Parts: sequence; structure tokens; C-alpha cells
Amino acid sequence: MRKAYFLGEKFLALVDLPDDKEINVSIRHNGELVGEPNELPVDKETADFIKENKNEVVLDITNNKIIKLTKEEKSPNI
Amino acid sequence: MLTDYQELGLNKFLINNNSPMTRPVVINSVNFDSQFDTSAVSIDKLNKNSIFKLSSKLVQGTFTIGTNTQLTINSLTTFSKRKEVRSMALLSDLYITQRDDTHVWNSVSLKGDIGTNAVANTKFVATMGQRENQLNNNKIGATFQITNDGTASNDYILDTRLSYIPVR
Repeated sequence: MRKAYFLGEKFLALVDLPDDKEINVSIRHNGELVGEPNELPVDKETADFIKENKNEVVLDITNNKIIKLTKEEKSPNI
Repeated sequence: MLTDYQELGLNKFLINNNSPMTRPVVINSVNFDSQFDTSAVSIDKLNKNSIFKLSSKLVQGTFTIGTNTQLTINSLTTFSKRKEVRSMALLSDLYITQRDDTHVWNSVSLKGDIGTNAVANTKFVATMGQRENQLNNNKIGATFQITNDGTASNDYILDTRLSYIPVR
């Protein structure tokens, strides 16, 4: 199971766990429970991209795609 | 152990000298079989054919967690080839940044290359529950919680060994 979690468009976490288990993931951000984070299954290539650029990725909610931010767009809160 | 009171000169007071009174055996440490002495319990004294074998199952995962974010993973492992298992210990290593012997966060001597901020701003909890196993004897639930309170995203690698007794 390889999934990326976003709060809105903001990157929160990338989870990579074996498939042979029942897994339930919950996330808190700034102490608040993120009720329904945007959850996106990702392939290995995308996961590697996120790991390399974890401070510069957001979710394009409309197209459900992960995009890389420019330096100007980079969120200081990520 | 039968005895009488001859040495005390009291046998003449017994009603039937042919059936002297008995007094309880004095119990002292010498009377105990050594197998009940805790210091005598050793592998050699265990009947290995009659005790259950301890087994383990690995749980591994990698996580990239943003700042001020807490990730909770509830994991349920089903043992399809066993009808009943009992959970024992959950041994967990949490690596930060990369998996080697200088990045083990929950250690004393093996976290040499982890940045000070990452060490200080990471919280980690790993625990097994008991209720799920009581309700479903071939399942064991475990929860892992990793918190990144730092100012940068981090990569975490979780390597755990879930040990259990295969009962049947």
C-alpha cells in the first residue's frame, strides 16, 4: 500500500506499507484531526518523486495529480 | 516422615506407644525440589516438546511526514494458517532519514547521524492491543504513531517484529 495524504492541496504524509495487512491511517496536523485527508494512491515513481521533493509538492485537487511547486510557490508551512 | 518424641522423653504420655504421634515435617529450603527454585529454572529443565514455540512476524513501512503532523497507523495482522495465536512482544526500530545503524531513533548508541532537531521533535509510540485478539483469536492488532513536530519533513522507516505464540 503506497498512498500520499494531503490536507487540501498541502502535503502531509506518504505511507508505504505491505499489502497483506488491514491498515487504517489517521492523521493530525497542528494537533487537529484531519477528518478526511485527500488520499491518493501513488506508484513507485511518484513515491520516489515525493521523497525527493517532499517540501515542494502539492496536490492538484481538480486533476488529482501531484505537482511540483516553484520556489516562489513553495509553502513555508510544509 | 514418621517420628516420635522419644528424644524428648514424651513418649510415655502417648496413648498408644505403638502408634506414636507424628509431628509435621519441618519444611526448609532443603526439602524443596530444586526445580522450584527460581535460580534452577534453565533451558535444560524445560520440556521443549510441550511448550509453545515463539514466532514472529515482521512489519515494515516507510513514511514521509510533513511538519507538525502526526501519523497513526492501526494495523491488523491475520494469521491465515493459524486458528489461535497469542501476542507477546512488539519490538520496534524507528529509523529517521535512512535505514542504517546510525539512524535508529529509539536507541541510546545508534542515532549518531540523526539531526538534533529530528531527534528532539520526533515522538513514537508502538503498542499491541489485546481485545482484537480476544475476539478473533487468529488476529493481532498493533498501533504505531509517529509525530513530526519539527520544522522540516522527515523520512521515517519503521521495522518491527511482532512476536507471538502459535497456540493451534
